[in-house]
Amino acid sequence: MLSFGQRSVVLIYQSSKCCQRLVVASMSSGPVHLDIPAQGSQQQTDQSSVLPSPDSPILRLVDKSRLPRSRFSQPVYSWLETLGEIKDEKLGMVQLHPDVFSTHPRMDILHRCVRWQKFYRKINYDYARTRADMRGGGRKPWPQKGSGRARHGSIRSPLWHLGGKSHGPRGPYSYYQYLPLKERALGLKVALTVKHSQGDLHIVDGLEIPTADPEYMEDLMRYRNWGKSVLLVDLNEDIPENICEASAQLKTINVMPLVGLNVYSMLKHDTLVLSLPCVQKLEDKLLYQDHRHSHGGLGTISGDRDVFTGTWTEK
Amino acid sequence: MATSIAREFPRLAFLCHFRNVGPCLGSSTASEYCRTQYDSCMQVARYRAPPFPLDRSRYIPDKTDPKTPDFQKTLKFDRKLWGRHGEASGLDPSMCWPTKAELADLQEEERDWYLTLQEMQQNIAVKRAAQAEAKLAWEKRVAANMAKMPKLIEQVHEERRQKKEQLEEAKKRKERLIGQARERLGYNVHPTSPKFVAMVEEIEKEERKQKKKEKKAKQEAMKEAFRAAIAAAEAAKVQDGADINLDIPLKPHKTDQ
Amino acid sequence: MAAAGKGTRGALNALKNLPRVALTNIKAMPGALTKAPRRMGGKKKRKCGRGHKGQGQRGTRPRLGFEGGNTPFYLKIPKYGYYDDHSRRRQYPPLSLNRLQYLIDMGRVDTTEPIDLASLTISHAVKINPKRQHYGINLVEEGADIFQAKINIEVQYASELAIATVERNGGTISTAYYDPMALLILCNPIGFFAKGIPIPKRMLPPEDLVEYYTNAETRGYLADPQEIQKARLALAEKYGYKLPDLSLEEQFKMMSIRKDPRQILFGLGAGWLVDLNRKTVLKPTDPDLLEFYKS
Repeated sequence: MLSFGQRSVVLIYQSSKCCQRLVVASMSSGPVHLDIPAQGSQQQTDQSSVLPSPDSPILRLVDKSRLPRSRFSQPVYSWLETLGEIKDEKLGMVQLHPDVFSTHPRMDILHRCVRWQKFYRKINYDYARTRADMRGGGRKPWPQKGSGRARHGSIRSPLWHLGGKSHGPRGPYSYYQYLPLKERALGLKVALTVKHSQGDLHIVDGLEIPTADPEYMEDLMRYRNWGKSVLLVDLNEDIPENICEASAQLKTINVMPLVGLNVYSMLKHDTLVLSLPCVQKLEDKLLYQDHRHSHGGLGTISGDRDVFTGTWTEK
Repeated sequence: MATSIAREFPRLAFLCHFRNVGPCLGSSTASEYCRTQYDSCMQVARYRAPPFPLDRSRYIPDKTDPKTPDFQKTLKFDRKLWGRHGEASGLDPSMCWPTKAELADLQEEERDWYLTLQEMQQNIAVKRAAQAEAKLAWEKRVAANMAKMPKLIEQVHEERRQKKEQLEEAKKRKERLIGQARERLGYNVHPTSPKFVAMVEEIEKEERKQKKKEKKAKQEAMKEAFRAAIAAAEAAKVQDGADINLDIPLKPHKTDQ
Repeated sequence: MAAAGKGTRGALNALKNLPRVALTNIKAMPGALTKAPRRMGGKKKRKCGRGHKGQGQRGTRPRLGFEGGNTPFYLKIPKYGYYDDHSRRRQYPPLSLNRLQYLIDMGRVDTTEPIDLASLTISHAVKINPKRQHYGINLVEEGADIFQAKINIEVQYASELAIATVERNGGTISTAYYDPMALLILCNPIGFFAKGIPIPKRMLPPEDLVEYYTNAETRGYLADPQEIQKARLALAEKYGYKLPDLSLEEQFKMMSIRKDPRQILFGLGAGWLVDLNRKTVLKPTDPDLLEFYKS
């Protein structure tokens, strides 16, 4: 088991188009593919500010100083890529919190979240008229006795043709219900985990592309084996124009701000692309749910201030 | 203590170096990391109590305004404001303590409703003494009764025996009477028939008569004996130093017949 | 190939080689989505589960408990005062030595400080509701054979074996009385401080408890300390263990900390006012007040 804090060198290789595996080796084996400076891991104590040069990829850190972590878990890693070129250039490595990107793959939670998303806004508008709603039917059609026919009280009873329906759907019926907040947060974590472990998660520095031509994105996706559909997520709503125009013209490429990230979309699209600031924000938001007391209401000392402190770069 | 835990529970050795969390103010919010000997951070199990809602937005109501509700103009509310916000509320903390009058009331209440420890202990002593006394009295009574027991038991046995004897006697007597009746009347008489009853009465009469006669005879005999004794005594008196025969049974004279 | 193993890591390794998780290949947990069974089918339809004729089918059954006219069971049985004054009886919810040892091992209770009901309640080790006739905790001897900690604990009731266990391990135990108001403060000190009332003094126990709390054998807080020492020795003799000499301990000072009979919280006296925001304490200076709070 690797304990963080030791000097380590990351050795990466791609095996298949679906999977990327990350193997961490000790210093003695030495770098094979990449030229990684020895002190790379130690230098990165500050926040993710300036991009390094492409030919010396170094460990990029998202600010973990305020996030809780357990001694028995280890961070997972993802490449930092760029959309500026079709060729897959790696700019660095991003450290991801295991409780968000490597949590237990709860498929049943995914199912519940997807089902919830499908049903909570569903309203069934079916409405079947009963005998009271049908026009007419107030008078007894013929006397009780003497006519030789069966006895009836109204021409709109459910027995009759054109009569009312006795136990039909009655008016708007809503399927509104909300999963617990923590369960929805867990669904997001599981979806991110699943995407990451199956190699469908890509972290990019930004969503800037050189042209608004949709073909550019298609070529990029094809070159990089991203699959048929991709979901691009940026932090705020001010998303670069080019990508917006390109995705507007394509059905399978979709862009959304981070607030719109949801389990259904993540599973619907083959690939998920997050911009780097999103990772920080996601981790903050999703881990808050794990460690909070009740929601900080008006005037409470919010739980964030008492959060544990633990950094992974301490020696 | 920490080392002893490490020794006893080696698997919990990592818990040995935890920070002190006092039971007083502010300890409820602690969730601490500690440094183990391997100099890496690790989380110690701790319950993190929910934060107390202290830093509410500070609102000091205007007492002069007629629109403020009445409850916000009370002393109780002011004290709560002070309790929540402390010095920052701008209120004078001395209002939190009771006034002289209130203090006097409190002291009187205490005097009325609460006894001192010594008084209570006295009451208890009295109660215990009474209990002990009662217990002693009871025990004595029991002991006395127990001492009487053998005699009582004997009495009971005696009574039972006597009763049994009487029953036996009565039975025998009855049989005897029946036999006598049969002799007298010549045929088997039923005990409940009037003839039998009349016969029994007769027999009883005769018996009584017999008894009287016997008594009279006895008395005569006694008198004789007495006279004889006196004569002998007189005869004996004449001689000096002679022994008087005192073997005469002198029984008390029966008055009832 | 990453070997599929146990736990999260194994599951994630397995995922790497499985097809892409999509909307089409996720399912609910078996048994998660169950519909209420419809009462359909010949047998379930005809009489709808109501039986044949009579009160059952016609829905005219009498009230629950009715037995056709004879005095029903619930009226026949005479009342007896089992629970007559149950709501006024004092209750001492138990704290077993088992649980105490568990809490100490888990680090939820700090043994380097005196343990009283406040520290136990704040860490949610025990659940005490002073408004429900709870007068404190009762140290129960379940776990006496495994108890190994050295503590200075203050409870409201303790059995003889529990006392012996604590003292055998080199700790001290005392029993103290808290009247309901004092107990409320003890169990929720911060909530009390926010009321802006100076800390009141703890009242003496009622007459039927005075004997218990002045008795050295039960380690009462009003008992003579010398008597307590004698009782400690006697108990050690009775149960056959050697009483550790506390004066040799480094923590002797901590072990001998006891609250004043009028004191509710450690470190805070009667009549003091706490400022939670500034984290300061205000004490009264008026001699009348001081006298009142000291008496």
